[in-house]
Amino acid sequence: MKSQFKNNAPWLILGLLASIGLILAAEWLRPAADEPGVDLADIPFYQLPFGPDAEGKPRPFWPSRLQTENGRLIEPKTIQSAAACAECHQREFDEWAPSLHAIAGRDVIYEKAVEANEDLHRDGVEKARFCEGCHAPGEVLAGRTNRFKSVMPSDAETEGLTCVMCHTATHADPLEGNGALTLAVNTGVDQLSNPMILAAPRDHSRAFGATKTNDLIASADFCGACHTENYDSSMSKAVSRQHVQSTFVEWRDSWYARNDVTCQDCHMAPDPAAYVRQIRTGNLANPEHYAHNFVGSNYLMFDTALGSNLTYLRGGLLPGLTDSKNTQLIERQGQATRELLRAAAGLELRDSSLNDGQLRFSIAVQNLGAGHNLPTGVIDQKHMWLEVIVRDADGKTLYHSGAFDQVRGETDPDAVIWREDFRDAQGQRIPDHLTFNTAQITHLRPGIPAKGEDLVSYQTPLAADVRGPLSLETHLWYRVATQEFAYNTLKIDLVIPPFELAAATYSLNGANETQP
Amino acid sequence: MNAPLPLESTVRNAPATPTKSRTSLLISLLFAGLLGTGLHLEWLAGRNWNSGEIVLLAHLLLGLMFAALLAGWIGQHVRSGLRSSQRPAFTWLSWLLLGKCVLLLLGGVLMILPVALYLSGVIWFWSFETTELLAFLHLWAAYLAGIGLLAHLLLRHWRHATLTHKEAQA
Repeated sequence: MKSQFKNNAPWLILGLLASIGLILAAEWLRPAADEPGVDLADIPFYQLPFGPDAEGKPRPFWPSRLQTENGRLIEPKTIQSAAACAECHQREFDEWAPSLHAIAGRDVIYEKAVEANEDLHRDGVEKARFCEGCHAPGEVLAGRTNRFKSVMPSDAETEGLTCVMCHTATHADPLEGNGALTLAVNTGVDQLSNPMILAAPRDHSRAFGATKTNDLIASADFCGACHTENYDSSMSKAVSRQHVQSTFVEWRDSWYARNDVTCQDCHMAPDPAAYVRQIRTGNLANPEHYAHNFVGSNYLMFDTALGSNLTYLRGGLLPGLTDSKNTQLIERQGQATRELLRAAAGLELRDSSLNDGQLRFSIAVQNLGAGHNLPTGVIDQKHMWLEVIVRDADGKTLYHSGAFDQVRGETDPDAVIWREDFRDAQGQRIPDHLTFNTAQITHLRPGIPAKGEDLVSYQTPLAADVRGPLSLETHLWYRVATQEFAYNTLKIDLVIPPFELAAATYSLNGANETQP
Repeated sequence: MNAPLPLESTVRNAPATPTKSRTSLLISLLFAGLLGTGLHLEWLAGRNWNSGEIVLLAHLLLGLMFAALLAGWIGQHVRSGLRSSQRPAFTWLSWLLLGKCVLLLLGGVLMILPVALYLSGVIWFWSFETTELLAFLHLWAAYLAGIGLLAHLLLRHWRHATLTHKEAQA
C-alpha cells in the first residue's frame, strides 16, 4: 500500500471520528426541544367555554378555525417579530408595514368593535377568538384571547398578520373560512441567529418557505380561509349558517378564477391599479413580482389628512417603524389604494325618457376591475351608494338622490345602497357590527359581481315648465364604515369621509326633446 | 529471464522521501472533519438546529482553517509533486482533485460571504436560486474531492519497475 495512504489514513479516520464526536457532544449539550409549543394545560386559567370537538379533543382556538400543525399553543418568545425579519428583508417589511394586514389586530376601529362585542356576553372575550383568529392570530395561538391574561405579550402578537403567520401555513379551507388555516408555527420555524441563518439559509427557507407553504400562500385558497366568514351559534345568535363575507366564493365563481387571475395577482401587484387596467385590456400576464402591500379598499386608514388621528386609528406605530417612515409608507400605499378603488367601478347612462310628466333614467353601475363583488367583504360597514342629481338648464336641482351630509356624516336614507345588514333575533337592524347579537344577514342590495353590472332605474315627476337641457350628475360613493358605528362604537366625533369610486355627467337629451 | 525488480528508491526520478509533512496530515484531518460535519449539516441538522448551530459554527471555523492551511501548502506540494509524478493519469487526477478543492473552497467562501458582510454591518445575501446552486456545488465538490483524495493517496505516482525496464530496453 502506498505510504502516503498509510500515513494519512489514521488522520482521515481521526477527523471523521472527531466530527462524529463533535456532533454527539453538540446533541448532548443542546438536545432537540421537547415537543415545540405550549401545552394547553400550561396556560393558567385558560377558558374553554365551547367544549371539545366531535372527537372529544379540546378546541383552544374555537370559534376561530385556526389551528397549529401540532395542536399546541405557541411560545410567544419563539415567534419572530416582523421587525426582526426586516433586518434582512427590509423591502418586504416596508411593503407590509403600511398594509391593513400589519394593523389588522391593532387598528382602533377593529379593537373597539371587538370590545363592544366582548361586552355583550359572559364568554365574550373567548368568543372574540373568532375575530382575532384572522385579525391577531398570534394573540389567539399564544392563549392571550382569554378573560385572564396569563401569557406575556410579544411584538409579533401585536403585528396582526405578521410574516410568520403566512409563511408557516400548511393548510387552508377557503369554504369553511373563519380563519381555517393550519400553521406550522411551532414545528416549522428555525431558531438560528441571523449570522447562522445567513450561513445555512436553506433551512431558514425550508422553515418559512417550504414548497408546500409557498404553493399554498400563492393560491386564492389561502386568502379564502380568512376572506370567508360565516356566523353560527358559536359566536352569534344565528340558528343557521349566515354568510357574512363571501369574497372567496365571489372570486371562485367569476371570470377571474376561470382565467387564473388570483387574489395575489391584483392585491400584491407592485402597482395594483395598473395591473387591474392591464387585466381590463385582456392582458392576463402575471405581475413582474409580488409585493407585500396587500393593497385593499380601506382608504380611511391611509388618509394622512387625518393627521395624528390616523396614527391613533392605526393603533400607533408598529415595532421597527419611526413616525416619519410610517407616514412616508402610508402615503405611498394610500395613493395605491385610491388608484385601485378608482380602477374598480364604472357608471353608464343606459336610457332616459320623459313621458307623462315622469322623468325616467337608468344607470348601470359596473364592476369593471374587482375580481369579486363590489363592494365585498363584511359589507355591513363597508358600503357603496349611488348619488344622482338632475339639474335644469339653469343649474337648479330638480331631483337629488344619495346626498351625503358632510356635517353629520349621514347618507340619504332613500339612496340606492349596496350593503348587507346584520339583524338581531327580532329582525332589527344592527348598525354597529355587533356580531355576537346577530341572528340573520340580509342584503339591502347585494354586491355587484365581477365583470357584472347593476342597473339602477329612477323615476321622478317633472314640472311642466322645466327648462332643458337637463343634466344628470352621478357619483358612486364608497364608505368603510357607517356613521352609527363611529358614534356608537368608536365614540369619537369623526365623520367618516366617503370615497368617490366613479363619477359621470350626462346630458339627458331625451328629456330635451320632450320638453314642452 | 527473471530480472530482479529494482527497489522503489532506484526508480528513475522517484522522490527521495514520500511527502509526509505535518501540514498535509493536518489537512487530511481537517478535510475528514469537514466532510463529517458537512454531511451532518446537509442531512441531519434540520431536525435539531439547537445542536446543528454548534456543528455549523465548527464547520465554518474548520473550513477557514482548512482553506488557510491548504492555500499555504499546496504551491510547494504541486511543485514537488509535478517533479516526482511519473504517471500522466496520476498527474491529471491530481489536477482534477485540486480543481475540486478549489470549487469546494470557492463554494464555501461564497456561501459565507453574506455572514462576513453581516458581521461587518452590511445586509446582503444571495438569491434563493444562487444559494441552492452554491450548496449543490459545495456538496458535490466535497463528495468528489473525498473520492479524489482517496485516489490521490492510494494510486501510484511512479511507474512500475517492469515498465521502466522495458522503457530502458527500448
